[in-house]
Amino acid sequence: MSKLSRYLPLLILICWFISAPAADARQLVEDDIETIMNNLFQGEELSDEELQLLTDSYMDLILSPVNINRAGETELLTLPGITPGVARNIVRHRNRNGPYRHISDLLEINGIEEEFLVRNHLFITTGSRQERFREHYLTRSYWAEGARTEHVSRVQSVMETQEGYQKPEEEGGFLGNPLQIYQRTRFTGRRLSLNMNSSKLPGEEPLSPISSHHQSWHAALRNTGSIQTAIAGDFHVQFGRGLLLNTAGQFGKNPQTSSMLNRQDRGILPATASRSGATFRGLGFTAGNRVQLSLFHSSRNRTATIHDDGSASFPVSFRAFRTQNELSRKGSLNEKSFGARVRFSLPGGYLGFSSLHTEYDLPITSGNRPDQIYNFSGFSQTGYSTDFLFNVAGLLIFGESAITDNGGSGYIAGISASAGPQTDLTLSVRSFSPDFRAIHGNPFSELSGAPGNERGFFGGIRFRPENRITLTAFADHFTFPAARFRNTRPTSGFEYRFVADISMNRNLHLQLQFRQKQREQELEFTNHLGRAERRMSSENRRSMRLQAEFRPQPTLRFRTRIEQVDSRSADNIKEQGLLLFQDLQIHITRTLRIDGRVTLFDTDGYNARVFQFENDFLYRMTNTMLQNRGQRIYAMFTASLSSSVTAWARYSITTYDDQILIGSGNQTIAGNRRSDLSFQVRVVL
Amino acid sequence: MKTELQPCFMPRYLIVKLLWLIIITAPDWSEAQPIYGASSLAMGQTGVANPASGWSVSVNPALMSTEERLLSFYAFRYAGFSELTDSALSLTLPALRGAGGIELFSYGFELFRESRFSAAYKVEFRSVHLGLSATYVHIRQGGGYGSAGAVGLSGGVAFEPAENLIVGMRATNLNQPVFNRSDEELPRDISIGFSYLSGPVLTTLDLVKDIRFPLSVRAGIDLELAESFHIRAGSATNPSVWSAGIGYITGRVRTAVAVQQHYALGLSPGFDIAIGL
Repeated sequence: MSKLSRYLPLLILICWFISAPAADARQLVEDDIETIMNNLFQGEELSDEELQLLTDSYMDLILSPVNINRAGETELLTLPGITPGVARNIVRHRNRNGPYRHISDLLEINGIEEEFLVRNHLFITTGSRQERFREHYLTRSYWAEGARTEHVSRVQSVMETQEGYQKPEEEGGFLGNPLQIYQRTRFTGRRLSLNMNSSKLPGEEPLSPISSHHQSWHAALRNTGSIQTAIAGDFHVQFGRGLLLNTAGQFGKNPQTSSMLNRQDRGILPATASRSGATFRGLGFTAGNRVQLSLFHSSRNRTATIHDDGSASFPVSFRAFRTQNELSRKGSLNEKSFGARVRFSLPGGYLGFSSLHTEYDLPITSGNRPDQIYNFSGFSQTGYSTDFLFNVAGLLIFGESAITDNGGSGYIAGISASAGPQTDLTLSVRSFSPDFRAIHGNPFSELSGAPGNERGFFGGIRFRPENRITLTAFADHFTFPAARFRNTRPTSGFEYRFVADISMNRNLHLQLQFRQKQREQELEFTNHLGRAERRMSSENRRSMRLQAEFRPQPTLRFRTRIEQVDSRSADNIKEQGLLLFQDLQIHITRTLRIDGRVTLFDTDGYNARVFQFENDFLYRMTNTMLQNRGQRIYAMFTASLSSSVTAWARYSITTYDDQILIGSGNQTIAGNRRSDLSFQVRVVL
Repeated sequence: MKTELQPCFMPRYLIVKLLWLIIITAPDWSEAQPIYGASSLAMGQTGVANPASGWSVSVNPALMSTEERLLSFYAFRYAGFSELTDSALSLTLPALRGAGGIELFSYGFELFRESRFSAAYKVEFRSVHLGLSATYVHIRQGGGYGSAGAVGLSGGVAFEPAENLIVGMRATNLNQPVFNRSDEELPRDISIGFSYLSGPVLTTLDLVKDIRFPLSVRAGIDLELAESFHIRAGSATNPSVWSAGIGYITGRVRTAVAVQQHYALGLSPGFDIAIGL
């Protein structure tokens, strides 16, 4: 990768050359992107890495929006929050009245409100005249359509000294300085995507002034004739419902009931998250229209612990290389993957067949615990799947089944329908045998990641009794037929969530949310004979949230939240947590915006932890977990210095009232305060 | 040599010791939950969204009046002990695009004295109010134990999402100040509340979370029983108190008296007067 870094100036020059004459270069509105991301992500207990993957996935959808004058019902169903009935109505309206001239024409369709347009206006387009001239492949304007080149530089640091920087390297101390540095240069357009980024994590030693341990690059061709995507470099794959293959990240269970289960079948996608170890690296393409073929090959060194007997543990997705020990594991395991997919478009939907072969240069061991015996082990794995999605008279039917070469199998299937103009229903079942090993799969399930050893039933409903009120709810019951989560026997659990969104008027929006999750968990204790004994118990977590958002003026937004969490552990220890925050966003001038928040949190412990999604720099998402007792404050300044340069500055401080040490291990801070200072600048050519 | 005490000295000495102990061991009601104004006191210590207060410099600077010049005085005696008395003086004035105000506050007696000086400014955009205040807090301990001070910055916002409905928020000591020459932090809290006026009835509800203490839920009601004559009542949790009071407005003068019943400490009286200049 360091060789590639040398070509950075050349890459920038090429990008500029292509994008400079693009008169119709589309300037994305960052405020809109942030608003959409906020609406989509808040309430999710996702890690920053998962949020980053999702952000990239949605940014891709923004850069390659769905054309409502060409898309069929199944393509329209990839939009967030859309229902099968609405997708059918969009197509019907178009067939009856001709092409849409503006996306606001969608408001004429039954079931579409302003909220839909607010959420989706960056994801859809009515197309342009240029699309009628696709044959002009060799014109520069064709390749430059929607093009822009940008460079992003970001630096961040914890202001307090952490233990790892005080210890000598030979005693396990950090090798580098506490700065986190991120650089990204990319050219994106409707048909071309070139990207190169580099990320140095705190404590890591940079490889050179412009390269680091975490780098990502790709060159991709899109929407060109029958080629949907052709990529060299890093890419994600989303096939079917994600049972066999989905590395692009996705939401957990959430109230977007219809679109959540309809996993986007988006084929091969450019990847830009430099820290993600889940991406493939190699060559891949998706081509064809009615019959679509996808092929890819990837070879990538991953990071795993190598045992004395020459075997390796399963590679981890995210890894920092801050100490000599961590650095010694870097790239210790080679993974090769080959995948293929054929998708046949049929009236009302499609049918797909996928396969994936993955092999490692060292044998993988699965571990000895009862809950590890079904984990992947050995040198290789091959899996096959078939998936479908059909929209029949407003009823969306979808599913996928897969087998792996060790005999494991799994399926997921569901229906989603509009039961009247105000009600949407979604039902789904899933069953993954204990030995099902789709190591790059990520379907809808209890936890994100590779599926296996799970059965579940999900039911969700969205009801709009009137325009100003939306009620959403889901229930998910699941069982694990074999040991899981450090248990030694089968367990089960359930999760419920209810959300009421109420628009009091145009400016004031209230949201009430109730959530409960219970999962069986074995309790290990010593009985009266002095013997260790295990007894089945359960852990329970409930939360109640009230949030108010008020926008008295377009330049001003207040957001207030109070959240109460009650938890009970398997050994019946009860904990409570409380979060209270006040958030303010104000546009001081047309070019300067300030975001700020004051949060108080008070939790009895980890089980009653609370989360808050925070406004952060463009392309970066922060989901902060808070536990113990204290206060967190952050302020962020966003300044548009010119039409092409935007700068951000952010400062956050968390003060604990009941702690004298923060963090653990090398990241320990002696004291009760942790503060972060970060800057970002973006230059758009 | 045997020391003979004056007959009245022993109980007085014990009372002073007891007060000293209360101040040291129970800073929650001396620092974390300040009360300003007899109206607020009567209405369960609510007020973060109450626009009619002369004590907005501290309660919520975003709600300082932009129309009136108000000079206010307030006194409150905890559980009837003269040594545990709050007294405060406030002046708020309309100013450029908003309002400004200053406030003086004193609490304690010769063995412990806490004094505060606050200055605040607010701006108003249509139905949105934003306020900031800076408070210098000075504590002095008698007996030669010294003194210390710190400056805290607080902020407040308020808006009117509907007619007669005001929502207010306040966050205190955002800069997380500590007293110089010590690690003792000033209390920090967030208050969120609303007030709703329906005819002669004003209803208030506040949620107050101090970092060190449980969430306190507070509610109050103000009824204009007859022209210029108000009766008020309220209740709060953590600590559990209820309160009541009356108010009278004549011309430019507003007066209010209130009494608070603490579940353990008993009755505490308060009084305030505000004059329109």
